Amino acid sequence: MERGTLTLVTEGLERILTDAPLEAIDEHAGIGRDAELLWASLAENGYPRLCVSEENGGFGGALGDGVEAASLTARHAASVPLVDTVLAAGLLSAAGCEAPEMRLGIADPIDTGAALPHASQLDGVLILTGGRLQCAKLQRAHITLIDKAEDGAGRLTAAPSEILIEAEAPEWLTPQALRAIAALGRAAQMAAAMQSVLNLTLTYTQEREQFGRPLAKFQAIQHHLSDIACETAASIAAVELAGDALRADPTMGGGALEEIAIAKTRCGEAASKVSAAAHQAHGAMGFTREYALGRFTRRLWQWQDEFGSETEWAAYLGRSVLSEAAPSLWPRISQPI
Amino acid sequence: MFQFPRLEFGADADALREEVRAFLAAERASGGFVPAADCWVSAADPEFSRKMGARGWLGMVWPKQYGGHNRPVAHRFVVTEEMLAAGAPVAAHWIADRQTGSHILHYGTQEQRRTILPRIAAGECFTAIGMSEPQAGSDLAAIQTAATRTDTGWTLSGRKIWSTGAHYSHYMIVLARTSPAEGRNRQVGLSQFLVDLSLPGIDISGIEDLGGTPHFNETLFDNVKLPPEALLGVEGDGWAQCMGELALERSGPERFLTSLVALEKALPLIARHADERRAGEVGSILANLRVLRRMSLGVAQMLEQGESPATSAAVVKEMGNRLENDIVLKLRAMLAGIPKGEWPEGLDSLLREAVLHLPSNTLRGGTTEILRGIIAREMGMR
Repeated sequence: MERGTLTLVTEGLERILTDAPLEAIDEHAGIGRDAELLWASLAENGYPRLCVSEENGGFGGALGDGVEAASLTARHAASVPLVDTVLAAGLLSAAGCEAPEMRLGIADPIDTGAALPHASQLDGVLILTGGRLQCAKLQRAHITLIDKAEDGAGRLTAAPSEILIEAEAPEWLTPQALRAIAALGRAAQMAAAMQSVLNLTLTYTQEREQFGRPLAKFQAIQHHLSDIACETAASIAAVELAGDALRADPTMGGGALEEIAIAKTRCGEAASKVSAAAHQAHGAMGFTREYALGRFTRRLWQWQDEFGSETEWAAYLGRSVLSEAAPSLWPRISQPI
Repeated sequence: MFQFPRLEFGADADALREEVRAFLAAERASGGFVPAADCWVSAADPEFSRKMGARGWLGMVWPKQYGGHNRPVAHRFVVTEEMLAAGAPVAAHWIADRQTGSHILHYGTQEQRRTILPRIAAGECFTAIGMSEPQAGSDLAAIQTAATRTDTGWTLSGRKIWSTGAHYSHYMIVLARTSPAEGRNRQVGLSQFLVDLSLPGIDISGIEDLGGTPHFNETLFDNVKLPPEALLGVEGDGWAQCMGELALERSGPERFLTSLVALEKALPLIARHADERRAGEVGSILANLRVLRRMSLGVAQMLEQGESPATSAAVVKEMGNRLENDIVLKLRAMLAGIPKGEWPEGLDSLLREAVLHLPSNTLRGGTTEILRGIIAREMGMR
C-alpha cells in the first residue's frame, strides 16, 4: 500500500473511532446495536478488506500495513475484531479465495484448544488444518465465553460445521507462520494500547494532587512514567522492525518469522511492566471498573497471552539459537534492518 | 521520543562488516587481543587503535580534509558494533572517535581541526572527558573548576574526576565556570575548554575501579595557563554544548553490547544443556538486544541529520544499561547447574569481569535516575 493511502486509511479510521460510543460498546462486550453500527461504518469504508487483493475489492495492502492501520483500534480500546478480520481476509485472499464480507477471527493453529479471540463478536473463523485453509461460519450457540475475558473471547463447544470456503493453504503458511501473523497483530495492538496508557497516566498524575502538589512532581512517579515511556518506545520500534520484515518477506521465507517472534516477546514483556507502573501511579482509581485505564491494561494482559505469550516466543527464539552447530547471538542481532 | 527513524545498511556496509570481521578474526588468531567485557572502557591498546586508524576505521564520518573518511554514519555504526561484539581493545581511542572529535569538528578552530583530527583518525591521539568533579557528580552544574581570562588567554584551576583514560590521553575537554551563576540558574556562565594534558600544572592520578583496574582518574588543574583558542565553542554556552556531547555519548551500541562477549562465550556450553528455561532466557535477551539496536540506529540517523536527540539517547542508554545488567544476571541463571568442569577456559574470569562492572553500567555517562529525570522533563513533568 502506498504510504499516502495508508495515511488516508489511518485518518479515516481515527475519525470513525473517535465518533463511536466506544465505552458503551465495551460495556456490552462489543455486541449489540452500537457495535453493529460501528462495524457497518468500518465495512462501508472497506477497512476490514485492507489486505484483500484489489481485484477482489480490497485495498491490496500488505499484511504488515494492515496490522499497522488496524491496530489503531487498540489505541482507542475499541471492542471490535478489526485486526483479526483484516488478517484473516488478507490470508484468504492470498490463498486465492474471495474473502467473505464478515467479521472473522483466527483460530490458534498451534494451541488448538486455546480460546478463540472475539468469538462472540464474529460471524466466521479462519482455521488452518492439515495444510488447508478453511473459513467456517460461527454459531453463537456453540461458544462458551471465558469468564472475565475481554472482547468476547470464548471456546467452541463444537467444531464449526458450515464451511464457507476451503482452499489449499499457500505452502509458506505453516501453522507457525499463521500464528506469527496473528501474533504480530497482537504486538501492534499492545504497542498502540501502551501509548494510550502513557497518555492517561501522564494526565492523571499531573491533575491528581497529594501532599499539596501534583503526583507528577514526585520523583518516584516520574520514574514510573519514564519506565512506561521507554517500554512503549521499545514496543513501537519492535513492531516497526517486524512490520518492515514482513513487508520485505511477505511469504516468511527469510527473517520475518524471527522478527515477529522478537516483537511478540518484546511487546509482551513491556506490557507487564507498563501495566504495573501505570496502575501503581494511578493508585486505587486505576483499579476501578469505571476508570479508563483498565480498558487498556485488561486488554494488554489478554493480548500478551494470545497467539503465544512472550515466554513461548522467547523460548522459540532461544531454541532456534541453541540448536545451531555454532550457537551465537551476534549474527542475528546484527542482521540488516 | 518515540520516533526512531530507519537507518538502512547498504551493500557497501555489508562488505565493510565482512572486512571488519575478517580483521578481528585475524587479530584474535594472531594473539592481537583476548576478548574482554566492557572493552570500550577497560581494554586500551594504542597499537590496536593505530591499526584501526590505518584501515580508515576512525573518524569515519568526518570530512577528508581533516583526516576523516566522509563515510555515512551507518558505516561507523558497523565498525563500532563489531568491535564491541568481539570485545576488542578499543578503549584508547573510543572517546576521541565517539565524541571529542565531532565536538572539535563542530566547535574547534580551523587550526585545531587541522592538527588534532587527523591524529585522532590515525589512532594516535586520545582524549578524555572532564565533566564530573568531587563535589559535582549528577549535579553537574555545581562544578567549581573555573577559568579566568588573562592577557595571554585563560588560567584554569580545579579538579576533575572519573575521567576514563585521562592517564594515556593527550587532550581533555573540560567544563569550567567562566562567569557566575545568575541566581538559581547555574547553567549559565559555563564554558568548554580543549586542554592539552601535557601543559604544566596538570597532575593526573589513577583511581582503581571495583575490580582493581585503574581505568579512571582524578585530574588536578593548578593555575594552568591556556592559550585563547583553548576555549571550545562559545563562552557561556558550555552547558548546551555539553548536552550535545552527551547525545553522542549516550546512544551508541556500547550502552548495550558490553556483556555480550561473556554470553557468547557461554552459548555453546548452554546449548549442550539446552532446556525450555535456558532457551527462554536466550530468546528474551535476543529480542531485547535486537530492538535496542534498532533504536540506537535510529538515534545515529537523527545525529546524521544534524539533530541533537538528547531524550532519545537517554531512552537508549536507560534501557541499555538495565539490559546489560539483566544479561549478566540471566547468564548466571543459565549457567547454574552446569558443572564448572565443563566451562570453557576463560569463561569464569569473563563472567567475573562482567559482574564487577555491574554497578558502573547504570552510573557512568549519566545515572539511571538522571536519565529518567530527562525523560520525565521531556514529557512535561518537571
